Amino acid sequence: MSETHSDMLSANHKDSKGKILLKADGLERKFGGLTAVANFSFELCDGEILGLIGPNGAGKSTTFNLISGFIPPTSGKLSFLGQDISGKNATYISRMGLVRTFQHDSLLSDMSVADNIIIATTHRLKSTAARQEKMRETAKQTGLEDYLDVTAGSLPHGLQRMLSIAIALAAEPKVLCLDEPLTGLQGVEVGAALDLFEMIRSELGITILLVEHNMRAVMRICDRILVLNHGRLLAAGTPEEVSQNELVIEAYLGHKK
Amino acid sequence: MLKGNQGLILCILIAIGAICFALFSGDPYYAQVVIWVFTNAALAVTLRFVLLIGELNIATAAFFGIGAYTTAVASTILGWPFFISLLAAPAIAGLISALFGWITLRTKGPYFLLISFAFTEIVRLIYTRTDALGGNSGMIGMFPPIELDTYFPAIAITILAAILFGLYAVERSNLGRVFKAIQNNEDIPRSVGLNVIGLKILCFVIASTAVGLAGGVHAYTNNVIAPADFTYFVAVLALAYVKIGGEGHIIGPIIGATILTIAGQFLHSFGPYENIFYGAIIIGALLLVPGGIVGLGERIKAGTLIGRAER
Amino acid sequence: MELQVQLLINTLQIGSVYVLFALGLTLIFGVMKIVNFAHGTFFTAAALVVSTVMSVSVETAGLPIWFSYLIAFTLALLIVCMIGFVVYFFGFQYVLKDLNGSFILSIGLLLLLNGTYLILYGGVPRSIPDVVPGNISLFGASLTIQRLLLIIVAAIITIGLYQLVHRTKLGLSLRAVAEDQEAAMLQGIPFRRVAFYGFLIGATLAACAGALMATVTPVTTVIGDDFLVKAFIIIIIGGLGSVLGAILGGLLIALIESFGGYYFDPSTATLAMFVLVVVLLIVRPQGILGHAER
Repeated sequence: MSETHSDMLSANHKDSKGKILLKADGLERKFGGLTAVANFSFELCDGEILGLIGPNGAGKSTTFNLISGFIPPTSGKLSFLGQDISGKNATYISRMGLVRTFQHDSLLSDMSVADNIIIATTHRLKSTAARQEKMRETAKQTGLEDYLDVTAGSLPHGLQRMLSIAIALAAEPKVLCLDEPLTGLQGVEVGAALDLFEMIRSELGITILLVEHNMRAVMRICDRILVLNHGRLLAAGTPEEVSQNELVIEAYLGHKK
Repeated sequence: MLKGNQGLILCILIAIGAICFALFSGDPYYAQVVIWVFTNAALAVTLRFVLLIGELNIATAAFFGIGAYTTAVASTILGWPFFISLLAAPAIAGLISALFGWITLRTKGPYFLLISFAFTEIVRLIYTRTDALGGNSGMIGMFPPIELDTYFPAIAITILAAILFGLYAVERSNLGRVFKAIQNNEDIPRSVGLNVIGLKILCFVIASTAVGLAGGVHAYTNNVIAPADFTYFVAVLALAYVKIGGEGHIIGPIIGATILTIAGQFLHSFGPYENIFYGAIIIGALLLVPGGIVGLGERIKAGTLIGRAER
Repeated sequence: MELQVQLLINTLQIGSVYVLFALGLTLIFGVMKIVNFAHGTFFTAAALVVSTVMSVSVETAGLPIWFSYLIAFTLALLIVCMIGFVVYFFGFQYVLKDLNGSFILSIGLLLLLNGTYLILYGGVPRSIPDVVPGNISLFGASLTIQRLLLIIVAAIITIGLYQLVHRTKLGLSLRAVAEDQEAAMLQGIPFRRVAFYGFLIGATLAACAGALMATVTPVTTVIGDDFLVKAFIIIIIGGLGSVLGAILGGLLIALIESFGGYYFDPSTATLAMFVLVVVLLIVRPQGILGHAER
């Protein structure tokens, strides 16, 4: 029982409310002979938390790099806030309001926590006072207010993750793309992070696109989920729908149920 | 070490002291040495400034030369007045460096390093081949106006000191912070809306403009310039000053320049031994004392002098 | 026509030496990801050894010239390898993959070694006598057999290196490390040892270039330095780390120098090379055959 592509797209729409912020249409990225992402289309709607999951090598990092402008697509179109951003670079896209975090090398590890966050405020805010204030505000939101003078590289892992989110937040994004933010987080930290995501969505009005491996967290926090496999969209829908999808189960477990 | 503002005040006092010394010491040789120290400090500091974005800038020698030649041309060929000739130096150096930076800084890896080295040698080649610039013999006759003659050392030192303080101010500002961020991990500033390549070029242009001005001052100080004054070795010496003094703080290259300029006065007549000396110093500093004198100072302060060096 | 052939032969001759020199430089970069500013010192050392040994062997011991040269060549390679070992062991191994650090180290070495050479050898240029006397006529142009042999020997060494890099296990390790060092290590390739071999091979190539150069030019302590700018231009054009690129780049630069130097003058030729590099950097920053860095 396979879904057609258009079924999946309408599942994309089904429970979405609000306008479409980010739209990908037939995104493709090849590296020489290897196709990392192929014919990937999706929409991200205002106010939702959209999850992107898939087995290793499915193309999630490439998709992230494509969306945020760190690498250009080899074909396909991308539009953000109604504007065509296909092929635009990372600086341009982040200035429009789409900010991403990184899975590895996610911080300025030789600089202090405060400096890390202030860097993110540099583009939008021009006065020292405004930047300082935004930095403190963001540090408070992410639980880093007691660590401002600490060198980022010496923070415990959980706080480093928080800092990478703080950096993105301080840039005042409309869309926040989180690249495996829960990696290495244990128990309580995961819950705190998920609460933070919910706060970001409901109080700050920021839409979230989330790549994650932690399935329970994804099921808990996401409104909708996209499943990638071998660079292609395998399934899309609510957590319940996706978790019962046979193709998804097969992809993850390697055999039919 | 001294607290921020105390250190700054001390430096201002030293600068003023140097100016007074130059004005009142009687023997023009001493004034010359002080100007040389400040000039070498400027070379070292501008080299280090581009290290803030992680690039080793051999072209600092080239732009020093471009500044000197600009002032020489403005003063002796175009007949422009003293201060205009001086100001032409950073203007031209800045413009050329913007173009050069735009072409070369978008490449990653060692390309910038190699090209800045080649650029320095090529520019020197152009000087030797251009008769209007005096060819191999260079240019002569850059004298400050008679009225300013006794004050010239003070003027020169003031300008050079202003360069040093100016670069320090930029480094301490948010812009300096952004430069360091680019060196640390340039994807982070890129992901929050900063134009990384534009900022790299800006850093390079600031440094090149500053060293261009120092070149202009050099033209009037020396009264003669020649292509042989602006080989890549100038940048190598600047590098030695930075490594000896330490790159961790702007005072490092200044300390290195001071020590080595004065030591250099005694080494001048030693021929190949001079090269061996500088070579040994550079290697020694790199392998044994990577943080330079500033680094040692930090370690003494932290009580870890006997411990293994970090980094 | 005769002129063109003469210039072409010049190209091959200058190019041979450039290629060997640039190959060493690009190999060291490819494997260790560093720029060895002191590469010229290996070249110079070899030339100095050849010049010194030849004068001792021929004038003092009265041995036949070709035999002396063989001894000199071998000794040059050995001594350069020893120098290479020492500078690697005490210096370069601590700055692997550190671009700025290795550059600084190599500058210091350049100063140190150049000064030492000057003290040991003196400032007077010395030529060595013709190893193989006589001329030969080729397509209408005249050429000393010595120079022809130089081209042939250089070509043999180049082909040998190419085979080494592409057909042997060591070559495979070198290429693997140059391509992706971490992946290579994951496959069990001992990075540090491979880097060391790469460095020695690079130094040896420079030494070959220097020993060959000594047969056609008076030897001084600064002949290596003049090569450095051109060598940088060559490896940028050819692509850092690319063996084929160094070969093509070396020949191209030699071509420009030969023809440009004749029809215009040497400085103009050098300027033209620089303009070429600048244009290339704008259009294709990774060089003709280099890999694009992410």
